[in-house]
Amino acid sequence: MKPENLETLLLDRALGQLAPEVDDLLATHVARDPAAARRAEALASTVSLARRAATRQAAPQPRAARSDDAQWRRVRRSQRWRAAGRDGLKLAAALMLGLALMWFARMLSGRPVAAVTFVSAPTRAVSGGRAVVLSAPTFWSTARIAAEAQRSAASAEKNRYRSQVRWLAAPGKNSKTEDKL
Amino acid sequence: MAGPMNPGSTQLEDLYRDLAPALLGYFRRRPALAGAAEDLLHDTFVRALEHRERLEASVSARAYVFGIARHVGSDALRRRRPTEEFVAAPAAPLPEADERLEAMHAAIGDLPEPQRETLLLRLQQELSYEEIAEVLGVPVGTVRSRLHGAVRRLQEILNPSQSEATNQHETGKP
Repeated sequence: MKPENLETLLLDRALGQLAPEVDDLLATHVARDPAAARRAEALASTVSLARRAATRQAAPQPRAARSDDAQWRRVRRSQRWRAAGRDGLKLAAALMLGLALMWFARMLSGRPVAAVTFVSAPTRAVSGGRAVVLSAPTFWSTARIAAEAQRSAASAEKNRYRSQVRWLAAPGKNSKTEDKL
Repeated sequence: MAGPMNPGSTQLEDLYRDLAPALLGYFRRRPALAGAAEDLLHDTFVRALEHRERLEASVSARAYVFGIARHVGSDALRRRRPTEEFVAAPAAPLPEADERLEAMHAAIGDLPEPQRETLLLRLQQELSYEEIAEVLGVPVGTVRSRLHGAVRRLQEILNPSQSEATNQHETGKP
């Protein structure tokens, strides 16, 4: 047997985890090998001492049957409360979801939906060459709105003069219109 | 106790009667958890009841419940963030002073955490390799390796001369 295999078997044996049939075979081998026997004894002694050290604290006293019953009832009660709490949460979540869906469906089908208007530029009206700002989106500054209004008014005036100039500059082309004028 | 089981509450009640003392011991041996051992035992079985269907898939009821206890203990430690040292355990007074036992206790305390935890599950709770593997969520080979490593290390610490002789025996050198 290889030494490393022997060591593994001896450790398993010391830890009490060797199958009985393997244990018998190992015992036969150890009986014929004094070095292996010494090693087996040393390992068994180490594990035994470790067990004593690990379990040296006073073992808890077995609890009385009645106390166990009371404890178990407490465990059962806690578990029922927790389960009830979880069920309650699920129910509440389902109710909330249902209400939300109902509200949404009602909004879509029956009731008028509030109109949402997005204004991307100031609405202007020009009266007599003076621009009046009717509404303005909040994301433009007052200065910008005023500038836009002035620019718009100037542009309208300019267009008016330009058309008049065109009429005057080409009298032959639009004779009918010119007659009307 | 460790055989195939019906995951009913009656079965768990029997399990509670069987395992409560061992689990109390498991918690009480950890200084940071000792004060809350009964509450932790309670939490362990509440969780076991909540997931009782998982009992069927476990190697043994004992391993399953110890696995839950380990998680409950870890959660409690995480919440409280205590400093836990095995060597600082409030040990009961020994009937007779034993220096070797004290040395072994200190040596176990010096083991790396995975080896120590595995060794204590074997020595204190008498769990099999397979059960320990389930409790810790590691392969059986890892459990074996940790245990072997722990025993070798303890022997090196306590009997350095024997360890040298063993190495010579293993390598075949005189």
